[in-house]
Amino acid sequence: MIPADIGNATMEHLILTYGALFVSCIISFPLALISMYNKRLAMGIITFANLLQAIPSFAVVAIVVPLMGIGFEPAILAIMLRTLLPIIKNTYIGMNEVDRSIVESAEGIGLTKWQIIRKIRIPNAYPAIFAGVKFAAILANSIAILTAIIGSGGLGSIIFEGLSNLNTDKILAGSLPTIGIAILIDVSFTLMEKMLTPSIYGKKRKK
Amino acid sequence: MSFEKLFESIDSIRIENITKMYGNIYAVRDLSLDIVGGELMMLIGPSGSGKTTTLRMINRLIDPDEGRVFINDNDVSNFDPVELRRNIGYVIQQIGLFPHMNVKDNIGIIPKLEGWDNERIENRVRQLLDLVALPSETFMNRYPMELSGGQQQRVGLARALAMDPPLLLMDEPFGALDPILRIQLQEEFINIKEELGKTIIFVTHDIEESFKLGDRIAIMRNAGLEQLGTADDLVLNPSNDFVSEIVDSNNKFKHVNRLIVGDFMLPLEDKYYIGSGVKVKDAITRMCKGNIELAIVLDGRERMIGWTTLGDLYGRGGDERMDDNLKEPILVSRNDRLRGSLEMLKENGSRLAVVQDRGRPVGLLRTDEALIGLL
Amino acid sequence: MGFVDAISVVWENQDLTIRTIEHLYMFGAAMLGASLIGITLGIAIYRHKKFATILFNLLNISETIPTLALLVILLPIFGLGARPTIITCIIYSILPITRNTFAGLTSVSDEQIFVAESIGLSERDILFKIRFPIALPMIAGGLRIALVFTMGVVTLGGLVAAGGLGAPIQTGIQLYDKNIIIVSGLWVGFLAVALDGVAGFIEGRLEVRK
Repeated sequence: MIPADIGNATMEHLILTYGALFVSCIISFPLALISMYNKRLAMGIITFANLLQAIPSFAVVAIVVPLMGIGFEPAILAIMLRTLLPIIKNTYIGMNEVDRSIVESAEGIGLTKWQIIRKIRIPNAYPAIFAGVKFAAILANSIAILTAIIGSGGLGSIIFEGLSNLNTDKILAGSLPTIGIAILIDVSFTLMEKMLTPSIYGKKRKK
Repeated sequence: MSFEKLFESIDSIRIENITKMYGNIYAVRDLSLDIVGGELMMLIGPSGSGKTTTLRMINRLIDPDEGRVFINDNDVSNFDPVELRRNIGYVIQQIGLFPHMNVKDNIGIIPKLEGWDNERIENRVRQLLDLVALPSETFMNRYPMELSGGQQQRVGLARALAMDPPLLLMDEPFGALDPILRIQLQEEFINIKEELGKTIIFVTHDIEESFKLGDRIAIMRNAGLEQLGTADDLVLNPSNDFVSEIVDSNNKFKHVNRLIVGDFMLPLEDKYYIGSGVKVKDAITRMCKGNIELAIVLDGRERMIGWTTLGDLYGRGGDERMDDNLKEPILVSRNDRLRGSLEMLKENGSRLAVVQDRGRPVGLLRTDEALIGLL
Repeated sequence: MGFVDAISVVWENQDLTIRTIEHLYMFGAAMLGASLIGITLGIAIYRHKKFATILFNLLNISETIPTLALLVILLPIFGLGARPTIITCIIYSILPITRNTFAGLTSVSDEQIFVAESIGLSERDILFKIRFPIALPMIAGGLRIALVFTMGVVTLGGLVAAGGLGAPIQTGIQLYDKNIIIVSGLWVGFLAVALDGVAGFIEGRLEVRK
């Protein structure tokens, strides 16, 4: 097993994972904002999408093929189909669940609906958004392995090669890095969270 | 959005036959009320009487199903609601400070949205913090989470006053506070009220607060107005049993000669006592944590040396001992006659006495509270 | 070819009936194993609360591991087929079930326990007659989450010769046959959503009964 191959595969895998995550975020945030203006519709769509999340990821990856064929872009679509909902849902819930009295006093002193969203609801949503993106990242990492079967490249291809002739070395060479990446994502998000949180909710008294 | 001062000052507020229903239930039914510019009008009544709903129809957080509200003869429904609210100060019981912003940003939020520059905002914030007796250097950068209840409510008031509105709407602002703290804030509010010269509409369920603060009082019940008048009008000429029960006009006058201090004192919890050796800065911390603004200083043998307020402490050096510079207490005993004690306080020009029981402090007697209690 | 015809052709050729049965068999076995282990573990952690933090931290790590990675790593140990698949399912499902069992058991208010003790119920009685029933909705919630995980992993089993509905999906991709992909993909998706829906319904009814 040549390290260079693993290196390439890892790069492909990371581009796949983070690329899809990035596009998901860009689409999800505006969608969540729009939902604030029509809550009934939003809740309806979210409930429906929740049901669809029960579909096995492998089936989702496969169904993309009749739609877009095989390769890198269909893989991104497959990952996005899974990660859009967690991010939208968390963002929406984070923005929605603000203390009633805070919203009331904001309205009472004369903030417009949009100003309330911008200055109060969005900051309030940061923890939830963070959790949603973290969850989506772990999910994306997982599905990026599967997409190898529809020609996306990445660490999954090494695993599948290893599977076809039961080559344990290849199997491990493909799977261990993905586990490493997963743990890395988890740890780095947790660290970022710790760093960001105090400044939002007030500093601890220095003395 | 450019700020238009909708009214320089309030001449009158006229509420004309407003009605608001939720489903089949009347929250407010055919209510009419006139408020004179510059007065402090109290709206008081039990839960469900419609007082908060009425208040909210003035700044259009709610719009009436029927009837109209006029400010200076202008129908408020003709104003843009957001612009209207920027011309009116609004304070609520739960305060509603924005947790992710510090005190300066909370108070300055509307000025910021109106495009004021940072220096102007900072000056205004300092001015307002002075007004509500919070030292600006200490508090400007604090977060709501770090403030006690009383401090939060002061910041809430400062925020409401940021754009210097001629009208202030207050919905049970002191309702969530400790009784002794509530009284301190009421008193400070009375002082500020003179300075501000604004028209204020104040919702409460506490009749004693009404008597203390209000120029006129509107008693409400079941979505309607029972009686409107000054404190005297209501006590001497209650229009029905409900009103006379609320103002309690019958009972206490009968027994006034038999009343003792113990009936009217405000009990002191342990947290109000601080040892003489404690440093001022530690005392400040303790008082903030305990949400109180008044302290009785005890010596090594738990006898009282004097008393002081949080405001006084802020003006002193952090490392000073508590027992420097205290106010002398006037002492009365729990079983002393109320009448005699009040007369003594009057002679001494003081409004506060510490009540003792067997040589140890147990409560406070305040002349204004006692008088209110008599009503 | 008409729509309905296409479905029956695929069904025949890919032996979807057998695949479905295999799939549900693995699903059932995994859920059974996971439930037994998960609930027991939840009760055990509840009884020895000091281990709670450590154990949950450990279990949390398992949730981040990509499913296919775990599955293939177990192959050298357990061989191919249904066995590693079921074991992987169980490993994944233990966390939500255990976590929800624990949370449910600890959610009972002190007051209710106090009343039970005063009537004279033993520690054991209280556990089984009071805490457990009250914890039921939360446990059901955990089972529901495990259900979705399990359906997912069983589908992956097709890649490691376990049979199940993952196999025809793989065939469809390799042959680049859109009909096979659509029919088997939608079918397994439908099964998953239906099972999740039923679980949700049961969860709701348990909640109401409280």
